[in-house]
Amino acid sequence: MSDAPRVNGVLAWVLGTFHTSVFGLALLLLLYPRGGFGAALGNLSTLSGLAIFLALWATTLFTTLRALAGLNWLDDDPAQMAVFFRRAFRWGGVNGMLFLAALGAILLLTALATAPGSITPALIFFVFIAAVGLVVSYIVGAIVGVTLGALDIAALRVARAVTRSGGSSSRD
Amino acid sequence: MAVAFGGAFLVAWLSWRTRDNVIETAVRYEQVFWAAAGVLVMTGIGNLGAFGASLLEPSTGWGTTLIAKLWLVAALIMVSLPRSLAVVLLASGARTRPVDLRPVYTVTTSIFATIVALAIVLANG
Repeated sequence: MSDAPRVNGVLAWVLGTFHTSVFGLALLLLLYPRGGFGAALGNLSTLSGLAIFLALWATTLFTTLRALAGLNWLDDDPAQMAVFFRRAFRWGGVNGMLFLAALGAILLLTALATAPGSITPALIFFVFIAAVGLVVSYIVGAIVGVTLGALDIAALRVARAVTRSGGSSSRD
Repeated sequence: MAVAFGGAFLVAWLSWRTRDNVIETAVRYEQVFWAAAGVLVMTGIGNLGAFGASLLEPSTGWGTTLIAKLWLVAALIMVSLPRSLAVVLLASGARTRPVDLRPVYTVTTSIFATIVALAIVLANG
């Protein structure tokens, strides 16, 4: 289990899924306490909801893998971490754009499947995404990416402290 | 939930019994844990959506329990990242000293047990 590619694959899986889960939970914890959350989610079919979450998971895994590519991230070297932060900004932004594009495609397909005769609102939404939404989603995604990147590094430092201390027991 | 909770219990039990092959088992568990975490969040949101307009408001007792459960799941996710990274560090060979994994997996199992208890409370209204 000491082969680097396998370890990097596990690392990307752990960090990518952590980002997706934290983002989903943060949205829940922000929106549910405000009330009216059930009605808002009720407009979304179960299939569409699952597709949206899976799209977010897939784009986040892809962009996390790209952000980690070629880095010895576990070493916590300052120069490597500076590169990682720049990549977290860039690939966070790309993730925002990819997710919004996927969201638009899923909603457009849902509109086509459920009401093929009245897709004009969905098409207008799709055009809006192409014109304005992608820029906004890049900025939002970059901010989220840097925030989650800072959480990643904080967690890495805790992990390094835990493994450095050894925690030896009487059975060592 | 069963896989993630049962797996945490098994790795905790294994780390209390022996140091042999614990890291290899822990790496496998971390891979499964994060798959389960993603699926749990995904299906959790889906289940709330299935309630639709009948979803109870946060001011109710059920809503308060749900918020407590969500915060506990968030805490579990936050605690789990350093644990997973520690296991990946050990698996990468960057750390050669023996590390006691018993506390981290015992804490993980305890948080999971509390989440399961809250889920049972929510399921029974």
